[in-house]
Amino acid sequence: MSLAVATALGILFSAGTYLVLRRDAVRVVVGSLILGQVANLYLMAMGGNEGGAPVLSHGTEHVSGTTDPVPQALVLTAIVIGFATTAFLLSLIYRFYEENNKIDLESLRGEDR
Amino acid sequence: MTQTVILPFMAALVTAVVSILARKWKYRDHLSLIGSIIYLAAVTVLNSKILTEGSFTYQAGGWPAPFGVTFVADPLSGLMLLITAAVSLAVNLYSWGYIGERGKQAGYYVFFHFMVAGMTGAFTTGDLFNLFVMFEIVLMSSYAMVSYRGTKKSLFTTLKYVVLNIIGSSLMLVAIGGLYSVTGTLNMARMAEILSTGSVNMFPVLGLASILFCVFALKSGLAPFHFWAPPVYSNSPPPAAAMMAGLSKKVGIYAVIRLYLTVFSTAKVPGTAPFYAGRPVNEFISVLMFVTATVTIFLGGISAINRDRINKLLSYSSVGQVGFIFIPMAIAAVSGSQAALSAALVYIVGHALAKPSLFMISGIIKEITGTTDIRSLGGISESSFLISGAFFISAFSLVGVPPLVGFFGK
Repeated sequence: MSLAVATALGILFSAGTYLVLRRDAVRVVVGSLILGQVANLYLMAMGGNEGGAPVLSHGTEHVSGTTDPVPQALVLTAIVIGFATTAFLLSLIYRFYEENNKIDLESLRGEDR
Repeated sequence: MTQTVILPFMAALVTAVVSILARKWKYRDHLSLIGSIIYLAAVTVLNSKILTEGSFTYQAGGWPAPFGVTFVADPLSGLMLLITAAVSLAVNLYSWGYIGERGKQAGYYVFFHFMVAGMTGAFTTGDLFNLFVMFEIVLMSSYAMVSYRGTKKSLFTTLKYVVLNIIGSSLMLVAIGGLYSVTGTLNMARMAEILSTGSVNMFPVLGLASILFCVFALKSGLAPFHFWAPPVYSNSPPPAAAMMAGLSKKVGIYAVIRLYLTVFSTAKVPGTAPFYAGRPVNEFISVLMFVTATVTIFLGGISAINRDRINKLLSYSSVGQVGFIFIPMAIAAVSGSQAALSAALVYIVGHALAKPSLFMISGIIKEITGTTDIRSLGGISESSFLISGAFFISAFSLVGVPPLVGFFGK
């Protein structure tokens, strides 16, 4: 199981890296989003998926056999941040296209100097 | 009253939220100035408490130490907050005249205070993941501050800046998650304790610490991750460039001081590793710091030499200055020398004061003369004596002429 997850993470990381290195700005954006999400997936995989839901009933000090809740809390936070960044990035790419009428990054090389 | 720790953070956050809610965006600049003054007052209160009682912590929500989110106030964070308060107040006053109606409407002041809130949080947090969140707040507001004018150049710069930082943030998340999985805690003080016992596998810690160092090098603009800084600074409005070059870069530097000079300082490289077997992790990190800092100084300096525009010159010199801050830090990391660390801190103060003022003056020069080309700026000292005098003093502080603060750093 963990081998399958690790392989999937590796494939996703390389797919993200590949897309970030494209000329097409939209692909770059999608690639960076994939990279952001793979980091979340990696955290989830690391937290383990064995054991029950990390919900403690009132009064119980410790319930054995639950998954560590911390990585899940971290991923929740990271997803929210990723969501905000995605929204910003997509509106940015729209404005970018409006302004330049093209999304080929290679042809814009040096334009920001 | 341990809640004093989050007083500056709350001050900045409340100002930002009130600015969003303000129905009449015309009054955002007034709100913002009041907010900055309240922030300065909050920082002063916190600092006086640190001076009289020493370091103290606050547990968010009252959850006990290794589990809850900790906020720490110690002399280092007090100093960084004081710089933030002073510089952000000055930049705020400058923005009052510079930003104009369009910027007010676009929410420049809202992002300004979110940025201050993020920096404050990063300076006072005692939790590794919270540091990540605060970094994201600072970055998110800096994206908006660079791009709100919507010009071709600023949009292109922001696109590259955002993508680069998303990659950096993913790596940071991977490194922080890895450190949690190895040490079982996110609390910085607890992590230092666990690492000093040597009871955990140090190989992943070494690798993750290096990844984390790369991320902080990206945020603070250390070579080979310095290339984003010059276009971002020269294509953003001068007050935004002042905030980013003067303060938000320091967040990355502060994180390096906090993590590598305290948390990882007790850790040792495992005995079976090549080259650094049994030596402190910091010896390995300090070599990294020293090499990258030296390369940064050369790259920043050489590329600054033949710039013909004043804001570009400042952007490239800002790259080199980070290298100068990292060299004493490398020495402090390897020898534990307090003098080297204080040199780095004095240099941080000097740079945080001089660079924003230079960026802001370059903005004024552009407003007055309509150009930033150095060749056509000859004789400006006759037409605007005060501006050129201020530029002269700031530049001399950066160079290190006594009795200015840059001299004591050098």
